[in-house]
Amino acid sequence: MIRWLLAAGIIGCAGPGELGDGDLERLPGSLTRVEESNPDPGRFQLELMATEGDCQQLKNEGVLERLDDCLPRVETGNGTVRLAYRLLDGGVPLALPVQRDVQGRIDPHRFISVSHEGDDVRDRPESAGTGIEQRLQLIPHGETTEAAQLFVLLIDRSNSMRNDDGTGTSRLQRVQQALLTRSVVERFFSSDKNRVMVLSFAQDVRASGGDSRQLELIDNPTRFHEVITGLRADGTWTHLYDAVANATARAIKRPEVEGYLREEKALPTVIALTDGFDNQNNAESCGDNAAGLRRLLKLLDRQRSQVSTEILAPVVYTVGLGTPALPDFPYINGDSENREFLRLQKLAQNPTPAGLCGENADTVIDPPSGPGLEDRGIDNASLEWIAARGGGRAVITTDRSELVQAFERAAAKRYEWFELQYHTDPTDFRQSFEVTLKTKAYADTQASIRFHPASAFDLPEAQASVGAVMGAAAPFRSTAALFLPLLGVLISLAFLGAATFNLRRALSRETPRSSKDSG
Amino acid sequence: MNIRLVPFTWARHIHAALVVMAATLLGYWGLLALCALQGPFWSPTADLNVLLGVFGLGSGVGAVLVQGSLESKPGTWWRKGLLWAALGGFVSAHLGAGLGAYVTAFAVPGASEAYAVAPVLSVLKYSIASFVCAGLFFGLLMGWWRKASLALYACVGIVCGLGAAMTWHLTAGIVDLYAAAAAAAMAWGGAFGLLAWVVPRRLYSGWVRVLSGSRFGVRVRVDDDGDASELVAGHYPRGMDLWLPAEEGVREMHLSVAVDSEQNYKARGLSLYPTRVTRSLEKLDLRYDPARPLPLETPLRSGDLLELGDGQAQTVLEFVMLPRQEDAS
Repeated sequence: MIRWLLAAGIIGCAGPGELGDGDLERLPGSLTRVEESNPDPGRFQLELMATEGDCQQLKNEGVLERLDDCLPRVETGNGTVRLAYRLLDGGVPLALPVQRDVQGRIDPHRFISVSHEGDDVRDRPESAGTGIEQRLQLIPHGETTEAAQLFVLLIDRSNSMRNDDGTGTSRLQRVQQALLTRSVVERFFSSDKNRVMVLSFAQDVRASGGDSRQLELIDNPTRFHEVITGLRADGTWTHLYDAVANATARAIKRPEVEGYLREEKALPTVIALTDGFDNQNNAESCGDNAAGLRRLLKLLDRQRSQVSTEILAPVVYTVGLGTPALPDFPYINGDSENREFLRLQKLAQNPTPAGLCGENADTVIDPPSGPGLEDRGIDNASLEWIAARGGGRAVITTDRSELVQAFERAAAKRYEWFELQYHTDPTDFRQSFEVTLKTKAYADTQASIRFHPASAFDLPEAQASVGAVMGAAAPFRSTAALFLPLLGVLISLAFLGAATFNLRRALSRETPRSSKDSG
Repeated sequence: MNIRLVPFTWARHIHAALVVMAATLLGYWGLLALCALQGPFWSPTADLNVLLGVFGLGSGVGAVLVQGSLESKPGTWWRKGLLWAALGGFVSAHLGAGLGAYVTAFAVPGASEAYAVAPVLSVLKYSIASFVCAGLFFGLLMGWWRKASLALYACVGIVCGLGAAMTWHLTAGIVDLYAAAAAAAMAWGGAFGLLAWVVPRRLYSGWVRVLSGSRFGVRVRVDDDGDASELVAGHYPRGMDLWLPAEEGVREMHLSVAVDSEQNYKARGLSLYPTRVTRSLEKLDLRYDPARPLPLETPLRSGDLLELGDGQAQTVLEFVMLPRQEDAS
């Protein structure tokens, strides 16, 4: 009898699927269970905050106030997920910078990629080809000023930087003024551990300090001021691609720099500033630059994908002082909702002459006589491509205040941990699903976490908020809003029969007739 | 719950369904409360099994509640009922759901591969067997407990499972699983309450009530103890079941109301004087015809009016089904 009961219990208490041996933890406020995350092995690890224990660690470190702000949340009916993560370097938390755009928004695609059960989640409206609206939001937490950052300023000193464009101030002077703005200097030297390296480029790359045996790492605003004001536009051609390759691959690998980066766990940030095109002779056309740009982009990709490096991969920003010479880049035909998605797709590919220059592929950049492409403006296409693959941003401007903003944003605040929220098709939540996060900046690592949502019933869904990805969690008492009216209706219907019976009889009741009436 | 609140109308057919539906819904609410406060202590793959078990529990409790209170059952009946119908309802439905899951893994094409990829799946195709088996097992248990036809209760259980499955699937597609399970609970409880047990006729008895004249308001029960009997209304001076004055149009042994062992009521005209049965859209003349060997008779329904006499000298009686617990006041 007992054996039969046990067998019956085993049958009744199991379902058809098998979950394996891992422990499951229930997410607060829902019936979704979560397995422990699987980070990639290696020096850098992406730690996903899957359990209360993970979040308690953040709280103990003083970068989290309430556990609820960190714990994972899954809203199966709304199709939204919230997940917190941080990057560890050898087991030690690594604070990362996050840059905002001019509207103060953070583009999560620059920092992290998310896949939901193997499908990439991107910020795209419903009409972007798939019919499914997806939203992605990244919220940084735990701002810190302790983390170190190395700023490598790569400044164009070709002779075109002497032009004043009718303003009375040369381009180089405008750059110098922007770099010496108090807010920029304060941001560069916000931490005692920050360093600045100033490289200028034209036909070659020169470092400040004058000592070719050792690159100078500037650690105070006074010296920074000296170096910046000492810059001169005395170069000729503009070897932009070689300069960026030098800054990201060779300069950073110099022993004195590498030692600093390793010791302070600093993040190298390269800011390349130019006012034209990469060009090496008078006969070069725009399309000829495609090969050089391709080599540079491959180098940047290689750097960012090297898991075994001892230091973080550099982030590359590009600043163009002027107006775009290729305003139609990236040459996409499509409605405005799709353009950003297609633009990012294009920047992930390698450049071709037509892809880089459009109809200007054969236009000479700087001919010996007559106007060239460089007279129209800056190679905005190359700058965007380099910044996209370098994990940074491209800013093309003639305005000094925008230059200041560009430098400030490059010296971004650093944060200890991040909250990722995304929304996708709710029907994808009707089964167990795995979420994989992969870093796209600073280090190349990934981690996965598996969720098991409720399969038959669930607690009430959060209320969706306008403009926000996640809604406010519904307390248990909100179940009364469904159950009490239903029970009320059922009880009322139960009494309805008696009520109608009595009402009918009351309305149709005859009055008593006396015997006198009957005559 | 009181039989006096369940009139002998269409309402008695749905009263049990409403109570069982409410009880099943409360069971689901209790399950949500348990999950919110303590958290589920079972594997996520067994969510459906637990939900269906709670449906069985709620419906069982509802069935015990409605039958026990309407039939005024003693305490021992209640204790046994709660044990077998309520606890047994949970166990039977839970086990049935689990068995259904195994059936799915073997019988539904692609099920084992789908579950290998995602252990937790919320898809009707892979869940319907659980619903049906849970309903079947629950129905069989309730049929055994009520000592009724197992085949009938098995069919009722299957209908409960199918109704719950369809409702769950449709509502989950439109709203979410929270509302879907609530809708399924109501479908399960409603189907069981509607099909398995209707408030029986034996809880009611037929009454004849005087609606006019000097004897207005007098009412007499036709059957005291549930056996076949006959009540005679008339002006006969001695031993009449319902005596009515002659001045009010009533003759000696004017009319009789009979009931058989299966509680079918009928009126018989015993007088040459006007005798009519009036109901909506129908008037029947039961006046005695000497050329006929037997008096005319007609089945009676609750609410029928019986008119004895004519014109100003007329007495009107009403036939009504009332709970057997009513007193002849």
